Amino acid sequence: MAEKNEAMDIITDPKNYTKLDQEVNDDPSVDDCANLSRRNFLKVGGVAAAAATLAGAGAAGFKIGRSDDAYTGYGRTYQGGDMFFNREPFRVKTAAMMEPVGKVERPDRYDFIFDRLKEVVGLLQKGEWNPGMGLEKLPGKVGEYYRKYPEKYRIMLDSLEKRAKSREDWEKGKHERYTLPAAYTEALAHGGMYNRYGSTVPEEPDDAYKETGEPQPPEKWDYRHVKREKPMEFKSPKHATDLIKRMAHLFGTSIVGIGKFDPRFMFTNKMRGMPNGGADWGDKVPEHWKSIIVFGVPMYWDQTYSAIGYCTSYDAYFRSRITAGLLERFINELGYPARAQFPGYHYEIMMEPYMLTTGLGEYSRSGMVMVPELGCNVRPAAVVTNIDFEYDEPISVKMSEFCMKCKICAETCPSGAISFEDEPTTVVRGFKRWLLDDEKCYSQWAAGHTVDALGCRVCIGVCPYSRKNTWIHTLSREIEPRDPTGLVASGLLAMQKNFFKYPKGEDFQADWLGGKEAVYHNPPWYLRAEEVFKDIEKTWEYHGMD
Amino acid sequence: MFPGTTILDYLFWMGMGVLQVLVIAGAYEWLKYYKKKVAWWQMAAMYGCFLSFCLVVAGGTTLMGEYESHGGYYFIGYLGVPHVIIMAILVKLFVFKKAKA
Repeated sequence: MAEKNEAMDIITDPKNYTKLDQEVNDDPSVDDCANLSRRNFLKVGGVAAAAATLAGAGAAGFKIGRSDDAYTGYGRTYQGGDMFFNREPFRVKTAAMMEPVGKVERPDRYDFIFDRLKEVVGLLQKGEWNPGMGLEKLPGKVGEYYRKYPEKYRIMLDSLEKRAKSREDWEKGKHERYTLPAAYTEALAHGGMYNRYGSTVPEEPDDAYKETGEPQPPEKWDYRHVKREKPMEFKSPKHATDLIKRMAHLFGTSIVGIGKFDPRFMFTNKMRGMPNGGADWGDKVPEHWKSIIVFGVPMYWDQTYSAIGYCTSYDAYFRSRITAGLLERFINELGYPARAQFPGYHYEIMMEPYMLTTGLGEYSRSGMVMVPELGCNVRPAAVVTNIDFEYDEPISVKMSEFCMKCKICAETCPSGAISFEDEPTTVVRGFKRWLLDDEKCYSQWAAGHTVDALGCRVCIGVCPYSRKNTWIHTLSREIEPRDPTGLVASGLLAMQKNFFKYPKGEDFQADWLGGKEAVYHNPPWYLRAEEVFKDIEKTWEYHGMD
Repeated sequence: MFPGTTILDYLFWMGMGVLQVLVIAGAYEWLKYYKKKVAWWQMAAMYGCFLSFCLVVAGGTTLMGEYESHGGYYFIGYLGVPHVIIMAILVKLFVFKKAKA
C-alpha cells in the first residue's frame, strides 16, 4: 500500500488542482514558470517554437541544397517539367546580339576548330606536312585559314604539344587520382557514343558512306526510314508542335524549342555522308530543311562543379544524342524526313544561333548560350525536318545584360579565351558579339587533366546562372528578369562576387604548367579514387570549394 | 528535405506550420504577461521580420548544402545582422515604447 505523501497522493489531492479559468500570477517579478498552466505552456512553447522554426528553416535549407532533387534538368523530364521557366512574357522579335550589323556570312567548315584540327592531324599522320615545314607549306584550305590568322597557328601548335604531353602522362599512369572520372568518361564515350567510325547512336551518314562507299546526300539519308507513301497530316502546325515537344521530353530532353530553319547558320562545304565530309558541298541547302527542333540536357551537376579534372561533356553529349536519334526515327515513322544534328562533331549547322532563334536562351560572354533553367550547363542537339510547326520566338530575360557586368567566367578562365570587353564589339560573320578565342580555349583543353585531354568547362561551372534548382536560385531566376530597375541583378551580382570564392584561373592549370590542378568544387566521393580503391596513396590536395 | 520519402516532407512542413501557431500565441501571452498593448499590424511587422530572418538562415544553409559554405556564411552574416537590428528596433518601438504622458 502507498504511504501518505507519496507522489500519487500529491497528484490526486484536489487542493493541488489549478482551474483552467483561474488567473495565475501576473506579477513579472514572481517566477511562475514551474507552474504548468495553459498560459505558461504558450509562453515557454512560443519561445521554443520560434527557436525550432529557425532551426527547422536552417535544416530544411541545408537538406534542400544538398539533395540530388535540386539538380536542375533531371527527374521531371517526361512531363517537360524541367523546362519550368515561363518564356512567354519574355518573347521578342530579335534576340540580343542577333540583329545583323553587317553582311551576314555563313560559317565555313574551317571556322569550326575541330574540323581544322582534324585536317591538321590528318596531314601530320599521313606525313604530308609537319611543323618543321612551316606555315607557308601547310596545304589546303586549312593552310589558307591559318595563314590568315598566324597567331591562331602558333597557339594550335602549342596545343598539339600540350596534348601529346598530357597523353604521355596518362600512359605513364600519372593521373591515378582521375581514375574514376576517366572511367565515367570512357564508359559514356566508348560504351555508348563512338564506334570505330565515330558514332553509334544515332545512325551517322558518314559511317554509312565509309562502310558502303556510296554518297549519302540528305535527299537520300534523311528519308531512309520513311515507309509511308504519304506523310501523316497534322490537324494544325500547333498540333505538330505540341506533339513533337512532348515526344522530345519523353525521349529524354530537358528543354526544347522549335524554329524555322535558317541557312545563315549552316556551314558551307560541310555535309556528312558525302566524300570528305562534304568539303566540296559548297553552299547548297537541301530543299526539305524547313524546320528545326532544338533541344538540350545539362551535364550532371556534381561533375560540372568539379571541373576541370572530374568533369566530362560526354555525360550530356550521350543523352542529348540519344534524344536526337529517337526523335529522328519517330519523325521518319510519321512519314517525314529527319536529320539529327548531335554532339560531338555531327553537325551541318551551328547550334547556338538556333537556340537563340527558338527562344531557349541568350548569348553569353563565354560564347555559349545560357538558358534560364540551366545557365550555361546545356548540351544541345537538333533534328531538321520539313514539318510545318508553330515556331517559337526568341526571348529576352536580361541574361546578356547581366554578362556585361559580371565577367566571372572571363576572370576565372584558365586560358584567357573569354573577352573582358564591357559590351560585345566584335563583328562575327555579320553579328556583333563577344568572341570566344576558340584556339586559346582549345589550348586549355589540350592540357587538361582529363582522360582524353579534352575539355575544361570552368566557365560553365562558375557562371552564376549555372545553379541548382533550389528555391533561392529559382527566386533569383524569376525576379531578376522582371525587375525594370536592374537593382536585383546588381544586388545578386554583388553577392556573387563578394560572398563566393573561386580558384584563380592559373590554379586550374596542370601541375606541369605551374598550376594546382584546382577544381571549382571538390569532387564527390564517387569520383575520388582513394575513397574506393586499395593501394592508392593520396599525394595530392583538393583545391576547390567544399 | 527528406529525399526518397513520400511522406516525411509533408509531415515536416505541417509541423513547421503548427509551430507558427505556437510562436504567435506565445508572443501574445508574453505581451499580456508584460501588460503591453501592440497593434495587429505591429505584430505582423515583427513576425514578418522573424520569418524573413528564417528565410535568410534557410538561404545561407541552402548554399552550404550546395557546397558553397563560404557564400552561405557571408549570406547569413551580411543579411542576418540587419534583420537582428531591425527586429530590435521594432521591439523597442512597438513593445517597449514610452508610456504616453
